[in-house]
Amino acid sequence: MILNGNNITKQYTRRGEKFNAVNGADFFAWSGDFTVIFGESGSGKSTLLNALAGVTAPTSGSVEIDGQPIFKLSDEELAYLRNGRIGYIPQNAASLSAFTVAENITLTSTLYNKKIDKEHIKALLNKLGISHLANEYPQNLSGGELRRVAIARALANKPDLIIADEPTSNLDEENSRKVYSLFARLARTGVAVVIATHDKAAFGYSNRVYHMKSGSLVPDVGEYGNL
Amino acid sequence: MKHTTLKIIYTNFWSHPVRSLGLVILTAIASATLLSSVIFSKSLDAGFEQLSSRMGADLLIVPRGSEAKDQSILLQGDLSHRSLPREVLDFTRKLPGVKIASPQFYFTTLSASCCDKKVNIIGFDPKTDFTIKPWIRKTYKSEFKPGYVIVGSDIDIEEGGIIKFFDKEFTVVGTLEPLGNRLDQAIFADIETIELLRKAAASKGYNFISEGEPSAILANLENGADFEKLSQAIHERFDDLHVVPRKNMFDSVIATAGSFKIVVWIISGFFLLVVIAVVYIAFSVSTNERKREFATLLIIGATRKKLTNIVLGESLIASGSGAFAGTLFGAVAIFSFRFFIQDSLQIPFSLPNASTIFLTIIGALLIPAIAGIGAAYHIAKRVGKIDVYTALKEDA
Repeated sequence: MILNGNNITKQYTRRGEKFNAVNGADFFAWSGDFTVIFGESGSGKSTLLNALAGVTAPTSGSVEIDGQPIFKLSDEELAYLRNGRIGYIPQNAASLSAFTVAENITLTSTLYNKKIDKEHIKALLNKLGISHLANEYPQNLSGGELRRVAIARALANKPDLIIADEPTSNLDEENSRKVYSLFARLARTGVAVVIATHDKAAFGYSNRVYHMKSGSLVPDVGEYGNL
Repeated sequence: MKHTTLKIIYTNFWSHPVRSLGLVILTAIASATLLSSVIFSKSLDAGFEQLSSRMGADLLIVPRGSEAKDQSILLQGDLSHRSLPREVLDFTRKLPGVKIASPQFYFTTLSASCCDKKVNIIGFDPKTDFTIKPWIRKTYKSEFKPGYVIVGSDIDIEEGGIIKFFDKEFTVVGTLEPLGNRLDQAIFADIETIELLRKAAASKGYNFISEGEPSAILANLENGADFEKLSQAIHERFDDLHVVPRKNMFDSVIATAGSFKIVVWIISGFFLLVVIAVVYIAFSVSTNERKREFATLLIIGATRKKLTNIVLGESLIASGSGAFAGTLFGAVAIFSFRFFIQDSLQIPFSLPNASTIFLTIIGALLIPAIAGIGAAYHIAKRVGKIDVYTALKEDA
C-alpha cells in the first residue's frame, strides 16, 4: 500500500477572497508507516487529510493509492475504495442518530451488504473500552465515547490505510494511549496510519513526522523525524 | 435500493414524526383535491354531454313562474306542478317555422309502491317526442303500451316487475342506465299511461293532474326560423308562460358549473403549490440539520448518488404515501357524496367513464407525488454535492 500526494493545493473562498488551505503539499506513506502530521489549528491539516482520504478533491495536484489517481475514479469506485481500503476518522465525525452504536460501527459493512466480522467488531469495542455501549444511541454518549465509536467504525472493515484527524481529541490520557497503541499495532501488521494532531505524545508511536504551517507541509528530519 | 439505505430512509422519516406526517397529510390533501377537481369537472362535462345528447329542443315553453326551475326541470327532473293551457301545444304546432312540438308532463307522487320517498314521473308523447324517446330507446326498443313504464336506475324494480300508483298496477319494461342525477329516481311513461295514472289518482280523490295539460312543451324549428318572432307570437296569444330559446336554456347552470370548476381548480393548484413549497422548506431544514450525518455516510463509503437517493427516498415516502391516502380518500368521498353534490349544486353531474376515472386516479397519485419529489430534488442534488470538510466543521 503506497499513498502518494503530489503538489496538493486546495483553495477555498472566505469573505469573497480566495485562499489556499493547503498549498502545494507533497506527501508519501508506505504500508506499516505510522505518520504524524503536526501543526497548529487552522494550518490546513484537516483539509489535507480530506484530500488524502478521498472525500474532498484538491483544487490541483493528485492523490494516488498504489499508483492510481483516486480522484480520477468514478463516484462509485471512489466510494468503494473509501469503504474497503480507507478508514477515515475526521475531526468532527458524526454518528447517525437513528442507529445504535453497534449499527453505526457496522454501517461500513452493511452499506455494501458485506458480511460483518462479529469477532473483529467485539475485539475493537473491547480495545476501545466501549463494548458496554453497543446498544446505546449516539445522543446518549459523551464526546469521548463518540470519538471512540468513530474510531471503531473506521477500523471495522480492516482498512489498509487509516487516516485520523485529531483522533485523541476529547479523550483522556489513558484512552489516548490506548488509541495510539492500537494504531501502532495496526501499523506493525502492515496498515499505513496517518494522523494529524497537535499532541506531541503521538510522536512516540510514529516513524514519520510532517509539520504543517499555513497550508505548507514540511517533512520533519529533526528530533521527532525518523525518515 | 439496499436494506441499509432503506433503513436510513425509514428511520430518518420517523425521527421527525410530526414533520413527516405533516408532509403526508399535506400531500394527501393535494391529491384528494386534485382527484376531486378532475372528477368534478369531468362529471359536469359528462352531465352536460348527456343532457345535450337528449335535449335537442330549439325552444322550451313553460308556465310563467317556472322560469327559475325550467332549467332544473330539464337537467334534474326537478318537477313543477304548474301546467300550460292545452291550446298552447296546438297553437305552437301551427306556427310557421315550427318543425315539431311535443308535450311533457311532470309530477311527483308519494303514492308509489316501490319507494319510501317522492317519485318523479315524466310523461311524454311517443308520437312526437324527440328528446326522451331516443335516449330511452337505448334501453327499451319495443312499442310503448298503456300501463308500461321505464324506471330510473335507482328504482329497485326489475324488468317485468309491477309498480303500483294509487292501487293501479303498472309494468316495468326497462331500467335506464345511471345518469348520476335525480332522473335516476324518475319514472318515464307515455301519454296514455299518464292518463291511466291520472284516472287512478282521481278515483282516490287526487285531482292534481289536469287532463291533457302539459307541464312543458319542447319544440324544434325549421332552418332559418326566427325565434324572436315565434316567441312574440306565443306571448301575444297566451299570458302566464315563458318561452326559452335553446341558447339560454342552460346559461345559468353552465355559468354556475363554470364557476365551480374554476374554484375547484384554484384550490387544487393552490394545494399543489403549497406541497411544493412545504416539501422544499421541510427538506431544506431537515438536510441542513443532518449535514454531518450525510458527510459521515460519504466518508464511510456511500456514493454521492446514494446520498441523493436517501433524500429522494424520504420525499417519496412522504409524497407517495400522502398521494395514495389522498387519492383513496378523495375517491371514496366523491363517489359516496356524488348525489349530495348534485342535489346541492343543482347542475348535471354524471361520473365519467371508467377509463377516465382510472386515468384521473393515476394522475392524482402521480402528480402530487412527483411535485413532492421534484421539490426535494434540488435539495437532494445539493446533498449529493456536500463538502465533507465544510459540513463537519460548520455544525461541530
